[in-house]
Amino acid sequence: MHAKSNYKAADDRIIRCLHRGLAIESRPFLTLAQELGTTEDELLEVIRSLIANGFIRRYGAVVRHEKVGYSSNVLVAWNIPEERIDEFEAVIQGLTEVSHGYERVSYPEWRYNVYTMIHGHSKDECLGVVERISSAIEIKEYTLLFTKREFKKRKLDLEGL
Amino acid sequence: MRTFDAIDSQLINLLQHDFPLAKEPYKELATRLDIPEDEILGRVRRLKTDGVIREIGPIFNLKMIGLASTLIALRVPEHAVDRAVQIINSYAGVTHNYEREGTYNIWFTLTASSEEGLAATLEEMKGKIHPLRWLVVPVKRVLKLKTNFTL
Repeated sequence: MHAKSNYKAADDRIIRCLHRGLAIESRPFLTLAQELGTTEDELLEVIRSLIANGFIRRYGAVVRHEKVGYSSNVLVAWNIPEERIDEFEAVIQGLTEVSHGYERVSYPEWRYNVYTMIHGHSKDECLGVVERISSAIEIKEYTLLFTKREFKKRKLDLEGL
Repeated sequence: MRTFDAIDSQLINLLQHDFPLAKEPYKELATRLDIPEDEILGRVRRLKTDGVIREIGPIFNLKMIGLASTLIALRVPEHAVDRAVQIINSYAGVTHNYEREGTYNIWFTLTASSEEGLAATLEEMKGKIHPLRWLVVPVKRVLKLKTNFTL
């Protein structure tokens, strides 16, 4: 769709445009395509290729989990030996209640290296999931980072960066 | 929490997992659910107005599109929380910021347009906040990322 020399610039423009989201109207891609000076077909092809190449993880609705019944959640930090992370990954892949799982940098004063976000219809349900993961992996070294207050939660403002 | 009828539930699932990349996506959803396109548009608009759907669009892999991001945990005394939050929230790159239970009482995420920019912003923030403890915990590996919920 664009010359290799200005690939980055063209890409940025497309990304910023797509990031603004899709209108709820009959032909929502038309507005975006016009803005980018292209056609709907070409734009849809670009989106498909961005998905195929891993730039876009998924294209679709972002739902507020608390509005669809998942009223409770807990961030859990785990201390998992490096060689057992694959095993841990397999356990959480099988659990729909786990939305995010990351291996992160750890420190001597904070040895937790794996983080999971767990959702449930109640606090007890969340704790039940933590217990199931802990039993499956036979690791009890974790800490529950329950939310006390939400100070900010918003979509990334690409224009503000 | 509100309840959804069978069509809303199916619609919410399709919008998340199987959004049609087509010129007339809502018309395709209408065909799949066997209801008129106008009704689909009406239902999607209502779900958006009610805040059930935050948005329809791409979920980018931030690293792949050239951005740098990290999670930061810090400890500030109780009396300094409000001031710290004010400083943290003033940055456009902060998308999530929570008070949490435990040794580190504030946890936030910061995204920047480069690794250098990220490091510089973190230094600036730390200098303004003077936290008792400060922990930068970037991702080493994504183990799971599935932010869609099946109804």
